[in-house]
Parts: sequence; structure tokens; C-alpha cells
Amino acid sequence: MHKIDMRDEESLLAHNRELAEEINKKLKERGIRSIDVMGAIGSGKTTILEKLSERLKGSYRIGALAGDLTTTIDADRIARHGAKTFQISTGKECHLDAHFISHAVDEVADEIDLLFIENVGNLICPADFPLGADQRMVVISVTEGPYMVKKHPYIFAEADVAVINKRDLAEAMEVSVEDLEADIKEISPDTRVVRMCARAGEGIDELIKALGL
Amino acid sequence: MHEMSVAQGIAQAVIKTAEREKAVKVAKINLEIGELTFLNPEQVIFWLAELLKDSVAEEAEIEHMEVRAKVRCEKCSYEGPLDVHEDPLFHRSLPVFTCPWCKKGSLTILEGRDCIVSSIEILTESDIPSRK
Repeated sequence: MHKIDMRDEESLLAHNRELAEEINKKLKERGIRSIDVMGAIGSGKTTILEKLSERLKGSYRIGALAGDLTTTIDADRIARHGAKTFQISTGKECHLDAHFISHAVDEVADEIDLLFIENVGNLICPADFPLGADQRMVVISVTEGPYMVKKHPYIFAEADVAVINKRDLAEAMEVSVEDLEADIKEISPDTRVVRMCARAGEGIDELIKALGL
Repeated sequence: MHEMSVAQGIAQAVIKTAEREKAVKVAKINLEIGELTFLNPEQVIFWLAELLKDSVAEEAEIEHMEVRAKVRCEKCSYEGPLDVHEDPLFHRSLPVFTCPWCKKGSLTILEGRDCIVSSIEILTESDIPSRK
């Protein structure tokens, strides 16, 4: 019997992180700022990107990569607001990874200076796979209930900006926006929290400020 | 649920290494799974065993060890493991992502976010007694 040490072999997760660093370098060289938008299913990621694209189209040339299992619904919605979009069909995969992005980025990278990457709706898997974006943002909404932050701490620890969406429904849902914000701050004191009602456009200015755009 | 893609990476690495080392059989695969990955060890092992069928590692025993998280606090310079939160709300104890010392600073993860093969144990031609 022979024991073969394999510690120097590269792991999948480490390989993803290295690829993410390469993507980030490449985007920076082309003068593109990039934001990875993660969040729960139905929390309002696409609506927020529509509102951001509409508001920022005068100041930035915007591109968006939308990750979804099969449909182009999200990419089409964002495209209506003037952004250059490309759909990444992940098939059965529950998250985007740096490998997907390394192929897709060339589809939109010409003549843009701001790139949004909309991840697959999921608060678990995307945390394991950084994509090489400058900033990571996570979206939850009050309709998902009061424990979304407590149950998924790492994705908030990873996030530079966290959005609590659909705040107008908080009372009906009997969910405290203040408690959700306190949960985020406990896990990650430096994460900037923005309360929004994206459909009505409320909180967009605060979000733009939090993202430094 | 990305256990299958992670298991695919592991299976490829194991088979590649076994071929390079001229293994006739892989007897054991030792895994290390970080506490901060979103990987369920049982699912990783299930997929890995499936993916290794009909390969030189088909009969390998798969063992895993959990690697504790190690973090650094950017505020008070704490370096070490995270506290574990025992809440009856959750069915398993979760590491708390707050600095165990100052409770205030942002944390950088130093260890515990990888899933690797630490080693494999193999048999080569020389290990098998001649039948003559």
C-alpha cells in the first residue's frame, strides 16, 4: 500500500476562486466595474436591476449577465431598459460559477463600463462561488419571512451591500425590517444595508449610494 | 446542491493521480471538507462513489474529516475558530459569523472554505503477490 499526498492538487473551489481573480483583473483592465447580485428566489433581483439600469443609463454603459436555469425572462426584462444583456443558462446548476462568467463576459464586455451579474435565485450555493465581481450584493425581501438572515449567514458575510426589499409589505407579513437589519449587522458589521420597495422605486437612490455608483 | 460538481472534480483528480502512480487499485480516499463550505459530506461521498464506478477507485473506502473554520478579525486582530451557536431552532450547530472576541469586526476567512483530497492510498503491481 502506498499513500499518495494530494494536497497540492487544486480543488474545485480553489480553482473557482483563482478564475474569479483572473476575471476581476480582466474586467478592471477594460475599465468595467462589476457587481454580483445574489439573492433569494422572487426577492426582487431583476426588478432592482431594471430600476438601476433605468436610473443609471445616462451615466454608465450597462451590461448584465443573467443566470437562470433555462428561460431568458430576466435577461429580456433588463434589456428593455437599455442594458446590453446575455443570458447564461445554467441547466441544472443552482449557482453561477467563475467558469460560466469567463465564457459569457466577452458577450457583453465591449463598450460597457458597468456590469451586473444576476446570480441564480439561491442564498446557499452562490456563497461558495465568487465570480470575480468588484462587489457582491445580496437581496432578500420580507415575504420570505423573519429567518432569512439567520438561516443563511455566510452569504451576508460575503456581501458588501444587502437589500431588504418589499418593505411596504412588512406589516402584512408581520416581519420586522429592523430585526432583519440587526441580524445582518450582527453577522457582518461592515455590510451596508438598504431598505427598498423596488417596484415603487423606493430606495434606489440609497442603493446607488451604497454601491458607490 | 453543488455536491455533484464538486464530486466530479474530486473523481477526476483521484483517477488522474492513480493513473500517474500506476495504481491497480485505489483502496482509500481521504477528504477534507471545510466547515464553511455549503457541502453536505454525505452527499459528496454518495456522488463520489457513484462517479468512481467502473474505475480503478471503484472499491475505495471514502473517509472525510471536517476542517474547522479559521478567521481573522479586521478590528481586534483575533485569529482562530468561530464560536458555535447551539440553537434549538436549527438541527445542527452553526458557526456564528461574528468575532468571538470583540463581536464587532468584519471577519476574513483564512481556512475552512475548501473541499480537497488530502491523500489516496493505492496498490500497485508490486503489492500484488505473484500468482505463479
